[in-house]
Amino acid sequence: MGRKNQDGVKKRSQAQEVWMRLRKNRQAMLGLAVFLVIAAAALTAPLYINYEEQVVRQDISSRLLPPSGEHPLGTDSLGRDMLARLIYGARISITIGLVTAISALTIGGLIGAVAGFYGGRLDNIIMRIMDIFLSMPSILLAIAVIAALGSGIVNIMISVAISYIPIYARVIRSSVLSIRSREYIESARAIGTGDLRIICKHIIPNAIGPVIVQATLGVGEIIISAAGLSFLGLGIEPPLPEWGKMLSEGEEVIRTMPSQVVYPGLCIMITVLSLNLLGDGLRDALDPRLK
Amino acid sequence: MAETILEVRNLKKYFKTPHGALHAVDGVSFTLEAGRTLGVVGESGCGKSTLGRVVLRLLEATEGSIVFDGTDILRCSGREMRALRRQMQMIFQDPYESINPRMSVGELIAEPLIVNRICKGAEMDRKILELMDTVGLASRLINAYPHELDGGRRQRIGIARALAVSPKFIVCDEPVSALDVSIQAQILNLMQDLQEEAGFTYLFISHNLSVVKHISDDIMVMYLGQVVEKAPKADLFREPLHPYTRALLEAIPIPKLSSRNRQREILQGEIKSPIEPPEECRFAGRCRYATEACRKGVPPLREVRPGHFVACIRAEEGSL
Repeated sequence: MGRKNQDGVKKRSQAQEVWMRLRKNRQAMLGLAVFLVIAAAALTAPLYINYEEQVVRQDISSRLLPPSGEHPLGTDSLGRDMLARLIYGARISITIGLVTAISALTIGGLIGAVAGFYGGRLDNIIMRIMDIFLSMPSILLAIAVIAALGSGIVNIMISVAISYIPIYARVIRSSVLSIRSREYIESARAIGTGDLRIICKHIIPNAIGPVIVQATLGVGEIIISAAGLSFLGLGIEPPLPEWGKMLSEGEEVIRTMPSQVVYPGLCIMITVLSLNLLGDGLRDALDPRLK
Repeated sequence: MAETILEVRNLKKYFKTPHGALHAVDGVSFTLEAGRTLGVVGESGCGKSTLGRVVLRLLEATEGSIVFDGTDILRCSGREMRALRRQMQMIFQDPYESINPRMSVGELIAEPLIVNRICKGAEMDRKILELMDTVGLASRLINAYPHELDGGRRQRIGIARALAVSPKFIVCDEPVSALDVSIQAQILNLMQDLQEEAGFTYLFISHNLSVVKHISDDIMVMYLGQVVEKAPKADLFREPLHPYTRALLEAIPIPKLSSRNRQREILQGEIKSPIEPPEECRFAGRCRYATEACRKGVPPLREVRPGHFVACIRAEEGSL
């Protein structure tokens, strides 16, 4: 919180400044609102959906029903309520998408920043290791990780995060390289600022722009690749509802009941779109020059 | 006589390049008394900015010693150096480059206070406003961002950052050369006022002789990494001894119609490459007084008159 001083001039914190700028951006606020609605629906799902009855219990007699009062979006090929599964799916899909993207961004960002900042041999060693990860097909890498750690949601997140770390590391490193030789870094050093503070306060805020947008787009990609792994039987075990998994299950009946793929697809799209709008706005809000 | 605050001995800074060592600063020695201003002049690439950075240890010296207030800073450990940084600061050349565009004025000035643990909380806010007042920034600008300010105000931020740690010695690396002429004088006067109030010692680097003349007590002329002449300001302008200094002074434009066709000594040739320079007077190739003797070894910096040093073997031969 800003403190009042004798002149009545308030010094605002960085977070307040960013929020003030973000609030002016309509698209970003729309994205934030949509995302909050989805997140709220997912978080409160246990209050109005009976997990055992509506999400898990199969009922062959009521399979692939069209929308009705009882099943607002119809039922899937095993007779489970589509809407309930979608809402419960949000819990898993959004968790996977966000947690993976954020952890990959944090780890990849730090690795890239350190490599770019210190340069020289350390940079070379780090980036060659990243190259090794990049050169392996991400599915293969994920299979290897899951084979080693066993299947499960957490392991899916770890394996997908590993394949995204080098991508973020590369992007951050290249922008750090152009920033570290700027004079304001030297100025910070002359004032006595340590390396860690220089990286966190000067380099990363100036380098983060392009990565934020990429990371919000990444959330969607991550949901899809986690779905791919589930499809291969490596990740989410049925009957757990997950959007990607539902998408691949619906594929079997795509000709007769296209709604089976349309709904989970729409969910992924809306989530990614809202995060992307938010990310776009966040990038602009983080840059005071675009006020 | 004031005490000596800075003593630089035989300072060298070489950069490695694919073609050999680049002698950016090559055997520079000088002393600086507390409260005085030493102007360093020379053309682009003569090593004056590198000198300023090496003295603050923003770049590691290749050789030599820098004694600041009794301690050889080249032997200081990282921690000792951080303590010393509170006493020696720098004002940078380009105020559009040297402050982080993502920080507000308040945050920029707070940074030296935070990292040096000088104060925090409400006391810090008070100190920030005090510093802004000292350098002439209105307190309403505390939440402004650099891009909203003009060059002069940005440079004032840079000065406030340097002042925040209450240093004794400040390296000014062309602090006004990126500013509009109308603002240059404001900033120079601010720096002079601050010096009178707080007794700062300045190492003032510039390629602009009029600016250096305005602010310095002594002037040191550099050419290709070496000092060619050092003298009190009045002496140097009245009677420059080194041919290069003379050419520099001749190059100052005189805004008078009658001076339009004056005879001037204009330097011929290009500055030589600073990469692996031969052991001779570095200026010999462009000097019209050069003799065979000039090409035998680097001429030493000699005190030809009290306080007046020159590195030219023919300096005493009257007006060449």
